[in-house]
Amino acid sequence: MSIWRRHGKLTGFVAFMLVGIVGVWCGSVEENILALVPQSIKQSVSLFEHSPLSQKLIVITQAPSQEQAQEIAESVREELSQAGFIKFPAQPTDNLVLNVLSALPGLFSPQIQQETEEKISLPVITRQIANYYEELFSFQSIFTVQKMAQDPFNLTEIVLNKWREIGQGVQSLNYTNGFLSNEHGNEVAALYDAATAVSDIKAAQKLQQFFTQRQATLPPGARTFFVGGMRYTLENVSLIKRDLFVVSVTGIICLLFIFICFFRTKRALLVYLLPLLVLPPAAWMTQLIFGHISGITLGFGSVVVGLSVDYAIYIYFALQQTKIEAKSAVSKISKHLWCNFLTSGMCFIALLFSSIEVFRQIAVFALIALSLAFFISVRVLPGYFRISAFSGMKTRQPEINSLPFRWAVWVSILLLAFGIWGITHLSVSADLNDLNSTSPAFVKDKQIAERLFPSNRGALLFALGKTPEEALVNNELVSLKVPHGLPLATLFVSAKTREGNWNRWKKFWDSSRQNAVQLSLQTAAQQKGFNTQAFAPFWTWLQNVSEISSFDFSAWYNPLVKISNTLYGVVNIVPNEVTYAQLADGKQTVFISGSALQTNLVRSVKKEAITVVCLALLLNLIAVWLLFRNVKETLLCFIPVLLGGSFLFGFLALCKIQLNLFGLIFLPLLIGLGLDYAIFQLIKYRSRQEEFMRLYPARALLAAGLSTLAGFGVLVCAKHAVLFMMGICALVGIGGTVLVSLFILPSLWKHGV
Amino acid sequence: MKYGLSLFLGLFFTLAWAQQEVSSLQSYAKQINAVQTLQSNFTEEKHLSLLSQPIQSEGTLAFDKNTQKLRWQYKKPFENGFLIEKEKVYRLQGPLKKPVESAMGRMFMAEMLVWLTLDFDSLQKNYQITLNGSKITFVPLLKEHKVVKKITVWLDEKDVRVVTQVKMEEPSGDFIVWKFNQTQINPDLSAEVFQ
Repeated sequence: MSIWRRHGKLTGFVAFMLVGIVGVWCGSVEENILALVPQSIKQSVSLFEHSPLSQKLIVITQAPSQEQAQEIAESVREELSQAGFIKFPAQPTDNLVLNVLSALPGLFSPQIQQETEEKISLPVITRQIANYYEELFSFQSIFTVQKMAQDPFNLTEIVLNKWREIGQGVQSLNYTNGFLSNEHGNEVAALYDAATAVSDIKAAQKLQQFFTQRQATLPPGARTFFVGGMRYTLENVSLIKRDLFVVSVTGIICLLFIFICFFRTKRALLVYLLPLLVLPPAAWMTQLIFGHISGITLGFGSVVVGLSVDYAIYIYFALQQTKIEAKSAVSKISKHLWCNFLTSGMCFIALLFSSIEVFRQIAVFALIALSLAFFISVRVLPGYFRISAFSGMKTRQPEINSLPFRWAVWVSILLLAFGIWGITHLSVSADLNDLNSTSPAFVKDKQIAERLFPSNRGALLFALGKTPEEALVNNELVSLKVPHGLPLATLFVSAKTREGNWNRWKKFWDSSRQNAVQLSLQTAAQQKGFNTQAFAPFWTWLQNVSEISSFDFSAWYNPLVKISNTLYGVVNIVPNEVTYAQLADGKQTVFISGSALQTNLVRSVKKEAITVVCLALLLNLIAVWLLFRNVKETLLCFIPVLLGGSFLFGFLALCKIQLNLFGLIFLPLLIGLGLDYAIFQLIKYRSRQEEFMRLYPARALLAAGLSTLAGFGVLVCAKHAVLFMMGICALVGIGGTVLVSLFILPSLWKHGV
Repeated sequence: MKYGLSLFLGLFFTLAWAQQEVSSLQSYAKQINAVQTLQSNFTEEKHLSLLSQPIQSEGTLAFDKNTQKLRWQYKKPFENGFLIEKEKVYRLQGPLKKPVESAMGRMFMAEMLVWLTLDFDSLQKNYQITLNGSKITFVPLLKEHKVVKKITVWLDEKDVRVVTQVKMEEPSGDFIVWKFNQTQINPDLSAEVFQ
């Protein structure tokens, strides 16, 4: 019973931790680029992800010679098909002519009617028959004789020309022997439809295995690999898994080192038990709230390790260093911990107002974890530390001396100057790919793909609708606004337009026109020696043609995509020009180009960053003022933040590290977390009694700072750009804040207050 | 017993004849395989249901096995044809030479090389081959072949390396006859022939 009384609370939290572990294990960890972008551009990114091309598997082959590249690419295609990784669209059959012709009545728009009228005029018929006659004297006529009989006016050319117009003016691709290739032909690429969803990680892993095995069989100098959505899936998941492992191991090693340096007692192990107790339940509860949890949020666990462990460290050192009665010491230090919790919490509350889902996840995760950590630190851990405290371990540790005032001022000025220089020289990357992190090998592979498919000239124009029919109707309306129309609007028509086209077709081919055209054809054909019954197949077809086409063009290329259960879109590939950009209304018609997306992303993230930063600073300013009720002390609290931030900007510029968009929005938030150390120091110096001052030994701050860096700063070991950015900001920014709090802030406080 | 003996003799002679046919084909293949270069004139006669009368054209053919080059050139009544240079295929239209990019074109040209060298090993995979003296008949194994119903090749009785005539019958009833004359085996072919 007494054991339960002594260890009941701790046992309860251990049980809660186990529940959390099981919960996270059973829940889903998802990685989605949409969770990383602001709400305002979410639709564009989501549509971009749904474009037909983004679903393709792109296989690239490099070889010393053109012949080798061709041969390898062909065999890889065959093997991929046999292994079930890719599926092929319906191939043009022997009845291609009849298939294409059967689609004509449904596509018989006024424009196609006009083109048909030209085709059946006597001069054009005469010329066409002359061409056919000449073709009969060539070798290839073996394959084209049937087509001549079925389509004497070459009407299929009208439809096929519309197909050729798709993507015209967008890219000048070099298409050789069934593959896209570079000018030498030794680098070839092919686009395939993946048999599985691009987000299927297991399929992506199997595909990677296939390419690894295939690579081993290639001759020296040859290489084959894949890019596209599946590679992104593979890279993101693999990278985050690897990062979680590396970061965890490095963090543990660093924490072990800190333990040896600062603690070295069995009881102190409880300090590092705290993060283990709070992280799993916090992750599980976040998962319950959002329905899933991002790998980046889990990666942020290391930040929470650093922050939460601080509470336990302060309690531990306070009880070790002071001679005050333990209950009173805990009560005193609890107020400080509450301040720390408040300032950190304010930063995360500010983050809750972000429209970026991952930020909201991180905020919820951190708030839950810090709340639990605060509660355990002040309610559970003192009981364990107290026992040790009264067993004669209260040894005085040497204090850390701050810089003399004059030195402190000079260092502050230098840091500010360094920061200003840094801001003017800092490079900010606006590349969306920096959020969708990839390995250096993939970056190289993407560059090769970009050479073969230059994407900067093209853009996507989405015509949206609640149903496929509505999307098609909207696409037709948009097409009317384009000088020459959108080719897809001619080839993929709505049911209403199809009906209109069919009526137009029937009206067009009335009996009088049929007779007249038949006569013209017969005249021209007889002059060249054609049989009177030579073109009977066409006239038979014309009599029997039905409204519904016997061939589905979407088997070749399907521009109609399902974005959600209530949203469909027709995806037009258009040139990246103002004419098309102006068509967008943001609701029914959306224009997306790489450059426009980039611009919008930068604009949105900047807006987000300003909102979150201002809110975090405002909330913290209010919290700190309420705490100290003194303007000078409140402003002094922000000195470590200011100088730490200056140090960070200067360092990033000096090391030529590009600040990515995620860093931009996260950076001031991290500096905001540095307020905790300033508060620690100010509370210490405000305590008039020496014994109360001993509750705040500088070693505690150093141990807490180093623990935060061990937890948070180790993210620099991550390869994922987002995690790396968080790590570098923490290591340099928080590291700077800790140093300023230890060596500069006390001097300024003593002189100023 | 009488019927049994007849059956046995029948089977024996059929097998013996088949064996002889295989050995003749192998002998022809060996001789044809020795052809390195070839040059010939030809006339082509097309009997098409599309036309009231058969049409005729004339041209030349040049082939170099080592460099894998083939020129099939129509001279009359229209100038056209095609040129193969290893993997590359060109369509000849008057003085113009246009590359053929389609996979179908490449496949067709690869098939042409098989026919020109009378590569029996490859042909046997797709055709039932029958030898009758110096006349060889090829019937597609695929029953519903869209282009070919039967191809008959006549070899010169004196020199089996020389093809004198080819007849291709189509499922529609149309047929084409190529007659080769002034055929030279292993002549020196200058590079200009394939320009």
